[in-house]
Amino acid sequence: MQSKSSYSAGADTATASSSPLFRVSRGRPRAAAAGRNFRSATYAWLVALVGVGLVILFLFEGPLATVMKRTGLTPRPESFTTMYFPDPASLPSTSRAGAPLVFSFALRSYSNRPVEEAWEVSVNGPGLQAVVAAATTTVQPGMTATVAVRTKMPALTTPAVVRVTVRGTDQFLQFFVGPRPGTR
Amino acid sequence: MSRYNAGTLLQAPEPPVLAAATETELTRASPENHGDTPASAQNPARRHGGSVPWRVAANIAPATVSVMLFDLSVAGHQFLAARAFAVVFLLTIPGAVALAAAGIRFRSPIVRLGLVVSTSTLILMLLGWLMSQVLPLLGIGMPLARWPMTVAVNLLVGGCAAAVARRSDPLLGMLGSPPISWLGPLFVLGLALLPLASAAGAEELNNGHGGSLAAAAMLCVALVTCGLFAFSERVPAWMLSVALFCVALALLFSYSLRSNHLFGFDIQQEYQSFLATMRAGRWTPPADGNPYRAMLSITALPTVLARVTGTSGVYLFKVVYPALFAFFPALVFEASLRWLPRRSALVGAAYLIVLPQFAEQFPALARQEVGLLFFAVLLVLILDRSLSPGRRQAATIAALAGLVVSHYSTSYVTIAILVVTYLIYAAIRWPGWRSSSSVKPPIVTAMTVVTAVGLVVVWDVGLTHSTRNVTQFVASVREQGPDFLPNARGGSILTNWIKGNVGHAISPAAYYAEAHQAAQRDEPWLNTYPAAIWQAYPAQPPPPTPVAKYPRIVDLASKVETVCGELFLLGVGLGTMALLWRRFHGPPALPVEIAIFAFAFLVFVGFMRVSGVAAGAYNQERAQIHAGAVLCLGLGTSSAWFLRRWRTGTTVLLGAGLVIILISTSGLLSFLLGGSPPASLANRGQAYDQFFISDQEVAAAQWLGQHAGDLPVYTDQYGTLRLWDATGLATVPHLDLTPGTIPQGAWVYATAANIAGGRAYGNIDGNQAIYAFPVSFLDAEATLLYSSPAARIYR
Repeated sequence: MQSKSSYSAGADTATASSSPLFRVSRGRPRAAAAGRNFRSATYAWLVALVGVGLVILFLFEGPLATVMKRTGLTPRPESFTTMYFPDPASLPSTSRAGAPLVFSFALRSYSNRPVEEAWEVSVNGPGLQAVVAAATTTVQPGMTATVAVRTKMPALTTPAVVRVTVRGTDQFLQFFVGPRPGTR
Repeated sequence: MSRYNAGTLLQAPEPPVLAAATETELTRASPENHGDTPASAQNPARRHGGSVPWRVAANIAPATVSVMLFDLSVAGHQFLAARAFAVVFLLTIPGAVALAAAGIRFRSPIVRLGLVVSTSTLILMLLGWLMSQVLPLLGIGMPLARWPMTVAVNLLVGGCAAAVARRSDPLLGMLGSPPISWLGPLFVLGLALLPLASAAGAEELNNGHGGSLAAAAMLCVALVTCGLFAFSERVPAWMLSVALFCVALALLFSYSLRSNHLFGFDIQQEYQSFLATMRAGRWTPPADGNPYRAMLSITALPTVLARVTGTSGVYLFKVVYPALFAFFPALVFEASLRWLPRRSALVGAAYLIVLPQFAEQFPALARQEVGLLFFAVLLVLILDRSLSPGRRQAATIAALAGLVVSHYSTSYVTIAILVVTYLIYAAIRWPGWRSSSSVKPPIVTAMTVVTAVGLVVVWDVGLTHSTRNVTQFVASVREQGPDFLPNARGGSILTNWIKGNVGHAISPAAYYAEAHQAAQRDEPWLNTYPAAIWQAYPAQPPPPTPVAKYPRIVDLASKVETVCGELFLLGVGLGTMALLWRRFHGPPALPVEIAIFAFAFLVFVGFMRVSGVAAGAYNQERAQIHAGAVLCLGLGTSSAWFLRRWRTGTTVLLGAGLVIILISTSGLLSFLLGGSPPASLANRGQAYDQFFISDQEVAAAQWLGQHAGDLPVYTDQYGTLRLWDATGLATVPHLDLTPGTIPQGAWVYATAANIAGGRAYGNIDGNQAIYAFPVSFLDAEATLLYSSPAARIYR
């Protein structure tokens, strides 16, 4: 056990190791490290370290980028499609039977390849469930496709929900439409 | 036992004989020469009898080459390697030449590097500030743009290098000596694989794969910690420091690199402060006294780094700041090593790392990461005896300046405790001050204390007017008093002690009722849905979380971890008191001021532990890490006492205790035995729900930012992080996502946890609630305007 004073001299004082891994000579310093080539040896190490680091980074960004991406070891953006009403204020709030139901919605792709989205518009209310429009829209990578919907409204007695659903997913948009006062 | 230079594998064992002794101006014991770098190496021309111009040219050549490479990398910033080189240059070379000019150098490689990095950080912050003040007067509207800053860095580094070059090579002081064996560098490279593996594991999880690589990295971290502790007396001290750095960085990366966006709480607001400065191209004191925008660590510093190097701000916050903070435990270890045996010093520093908040919370606190780096440097300087008093005082004041402009809470607490330490020590030494020559001059001098207080007053009061935290704290104390153990509700003393100052969980029904009452009381004008409607959707419990495969083992491990944690805390407390006791009643060990300093921090942590007002002003867990840097001296003292008596048994118990806490806090246990793992190891669990921000959520938040207008926005407690991250929303959205509180026509932002997980998080008066997201209410009553698989926006 070392005395306290032996620790107070500085953080880098330490006991000698009996491990062969860390054993060092206690004699005259090796000339290559501590003699006249001291400075050049230091910079040689630094240049080697920086050089290796830069080469690894070049490889990482260049030839190895695909491999890294494929193995999931580099950041990769999510691939998905969003849907929204581009102009919420213009959504119809009332309608009457047989009148045109006009609105638009948008599909935006966050994917790196074209995606086909099959969608349908349904009207749901008490005792009412009708698909009033359906189609498939292709969205190019990173692009937005705005879909204008024009269809006929079924007869409503109470407020109903107009729902735009992407088939095969839980994704949907919805708004409420009530019967126009004084009409059936 | 014989001793040798601990830096042997990276440095020459001892300086070679100085040459050319007749050249007195070069061989005198200059500050540049007290390190391990031989004077002949620093002045190569001297060996050859070169002339002064040749010598200056030879000395300045490396710095010049590095500056040229830096300029090239700034020009070629489209390459990752160029950006990385430029960041490393900015965080090392300015500090290296400044320290060489000031004649400050330490022998320990990690202290040297930590000092260089912190000095560079301070220089960049102050340079950004100065440029922001001066260049607009010269007609340059964006002084923090790429080329003005690059020119400024060139001039600064060139000027300092030229000033030093007559005496020595300005970069050699940072580099030390070359290794004489491949074993040392190989060991370092092996350790460097830890953070790399942790980063790779995080990215693998981000891309939707399993957590095997992340778990393997954590297992390696645990094994390395255990191995270093077991062989701490057999490996050089610098290796232990490097290992602490790498282990800390691996733990920090395991959280900071989760998600393609920022991860955690607070960091989104820090990022928005950075973006505001970045867009303005200059830093100006905030007109509204906003404390975030008053801190150069998250405004000017990242702006300079991002603008000059072309690095993404997100990755500066996710990679560079944790790397700065990883110096903290290593520097704490080096500081305590000056007074403690190596294994005891290692216990203290390792205990800081294994605390859960170290990896979980700090990657999201960029400002405090920088602040604590300066605090660790301050400790190294205070505990160091190798510098001359003048140099130490100047360096201490510089570290305090870095602390003040980096993080307000850390600087307030540190400076308050320095003042208390100074006053107590002054009172103790007063009777014998003039008569006794044995009384040592203070380490914390009046000049240091006065300057520190002056810095806070000038920066926080005079310049940035960002004292809101202090005024709020004072107002709370006036109103409520210290508010001891506010959540103690009967029960035993032990229960009250453990749970008395932390929020508790409340049921969904209680949360709905309290949220409704609060909304009625605070915002009665809101047009909520009629009671007949919202009462049809009562609170529901959240979907069940996965249960552990072996609940008994998990329960037992949790108890063992709690016991270990409490025993370590006991060791901290007893050791710190023993420091003070021994200082007066035993053989002198630590300077009395340091014992007082540590004891003051113990009192501070104790006060934080029991006072509701203090805990509200400065998060308890963060205060523990801050104080832990000093209190590890106490833990080291108590462990040294046991190690002296029961060496093997204590070593095994301490090592096992640290590894048990690490395995538990890193989530390895829940990863292996089931249950709810941390976000660092799996794409599920509570922390994942709360802090993992997906691209889909960001896209939804950006859409909302474009359409929301002045209408109120409702989201759950953690949905707000997405809004801050993506939109720079200045205000806090409404966080009570219940049918009884959402007004008609308000926006509702639903996160992945809400949609896919079906759960929402709420908080009333510090009490946490987890409840089922009211999706049936919203689907029945609100228009769904935006939808993606993991985010929705209703109105």
